[in-house]
Amino acid sequence: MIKLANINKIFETTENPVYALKDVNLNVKRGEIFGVIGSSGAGKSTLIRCVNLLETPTSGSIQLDGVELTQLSKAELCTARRQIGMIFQHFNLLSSRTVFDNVALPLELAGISKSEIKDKITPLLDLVGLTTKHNAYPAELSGGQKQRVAIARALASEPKVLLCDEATSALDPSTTKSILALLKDINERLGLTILLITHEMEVVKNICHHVAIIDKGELIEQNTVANFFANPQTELAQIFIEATINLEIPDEYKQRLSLNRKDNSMPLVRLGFTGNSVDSAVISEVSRTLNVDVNILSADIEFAGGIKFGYMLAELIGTKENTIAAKAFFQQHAVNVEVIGYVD
Amino acid sequence: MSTEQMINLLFTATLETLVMVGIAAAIACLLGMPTGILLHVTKADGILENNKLNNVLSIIVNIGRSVPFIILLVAIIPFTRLVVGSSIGTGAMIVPLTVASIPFIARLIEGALLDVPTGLVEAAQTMGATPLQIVTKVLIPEAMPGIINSITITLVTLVNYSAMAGTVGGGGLGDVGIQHGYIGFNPTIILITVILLVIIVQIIQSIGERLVSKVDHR
Repeated sequence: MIKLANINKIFETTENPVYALKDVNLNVKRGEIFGVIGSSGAGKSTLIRCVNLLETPTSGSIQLDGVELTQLSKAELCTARRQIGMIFQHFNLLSSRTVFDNVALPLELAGISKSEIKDKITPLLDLVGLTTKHNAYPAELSGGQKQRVAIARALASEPKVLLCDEATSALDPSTTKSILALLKDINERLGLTILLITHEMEVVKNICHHVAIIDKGELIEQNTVANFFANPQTELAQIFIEATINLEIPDEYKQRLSLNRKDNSMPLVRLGFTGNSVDSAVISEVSRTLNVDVNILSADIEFAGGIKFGYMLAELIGTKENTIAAKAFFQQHAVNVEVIGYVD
Repeated sequence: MSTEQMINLLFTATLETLVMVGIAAAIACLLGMPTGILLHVTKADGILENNKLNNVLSIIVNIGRSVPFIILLVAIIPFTRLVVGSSIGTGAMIVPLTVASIPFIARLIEGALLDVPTGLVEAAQTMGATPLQIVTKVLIPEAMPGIINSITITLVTLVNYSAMAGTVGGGGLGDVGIQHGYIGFNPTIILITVILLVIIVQIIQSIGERLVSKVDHR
């Protein structure tokens, strides 16, 4: 549906040219949610703005449903853009228009009659959950409601794809969740193709089918979300995945922690579950068969793209031989084991 | 001068001031607003970026704004004569007032449009809006509070400028203040003209503010 090939974007500055995008290739299939994740300044905004030519790439090809956008005349581009909805981090609603009139704007621009506009907008505002807000002005709405208006507005011209430029970055966690749920719902119900950029792994984990990592203008890794979490290829991918996991050693344990094994001290381990880990009850199996008690201090196991992954911090209590055997057992089941130290 | 004469004099003068300011402002808006819009959209990274046009407009506007009104008033007398057939009187005064306020309002409108977040223009572009649609559906409605404010400021400035009409034999309150008050040594007339001018400015300002609060939904 969206096909970017060999996209380069160079910003000419007075000093050195800035390579914002380097040979970017991206293929978003019909009906999927594709996420591009990257730190700020990595080029993700430039990337998504290239798709509807808000930013003109220095070289490369952009195809939307088989149509080459870079070759279009200005007037043709205006028409083509109606097939690409876009929502933004800061919503970009017109403050002078009510919710209804904001959503009506793309239809007005396309020259659609007033009565037809009314018929179209009512169901759209129902869809995004703003049935009672037709006549409110954006200033009277919360951030989440504003983004809902923006989504309805982006959908008004029945686009083939929806671009989301950090659409949840200005929202609090619970509002983020509800907006993501809405995007997922729209994707499933309308079969709408969505390309989003974000710096939050949470977003990718919750709604994306495919993910790409962008770093210094290059897409360094692309995969299905399941494979991405199961088998991150690059260091940056691992950093992003770990950032979603919150695992700290309690202070009380830190004080009792030493690097060398002493008599009566028990290993404190960090167990890493990835998509490759055997999906079985390894913890209880270890206690049952190897006579090692597992004292779980904290754990963060997540489910994304159909796979389970995460980390667990645990103290292995048992004889030296048995704890070593337990370590081997975990490794056999493709659970990464890292001994952090030994606690008295 | 009898009280009745004085009332008549001041009444006529007030009307003349209002006519001068009103007509000059109307024409200035008609010409200055498009100029301000052009200044904004032809800027670097504007929706109709055009460096040459922008530079030319900017220089003309700057020239217009840097000439003191009292100089402009006499400097363009040939032009005034060409337009209204005379260089004295209330009608003649409208010409320099208009000429002075076109660049003035153009810059103010440009500033008002600058306050519209670029994100809104971008959002409209993603919806396939043409440059003309962006101007009429996004820039002007979103800048409306600022535009009304600009017009208010222009009107008040015009009231001020119109008081210099006396120098070219134009009418209006300023003229009465100078001719009958200062030269005719009648402090009462000076006082009354000042009070009337203050009232006119107050009315313009409060109408402006009321309109702004009506259209401002930010």
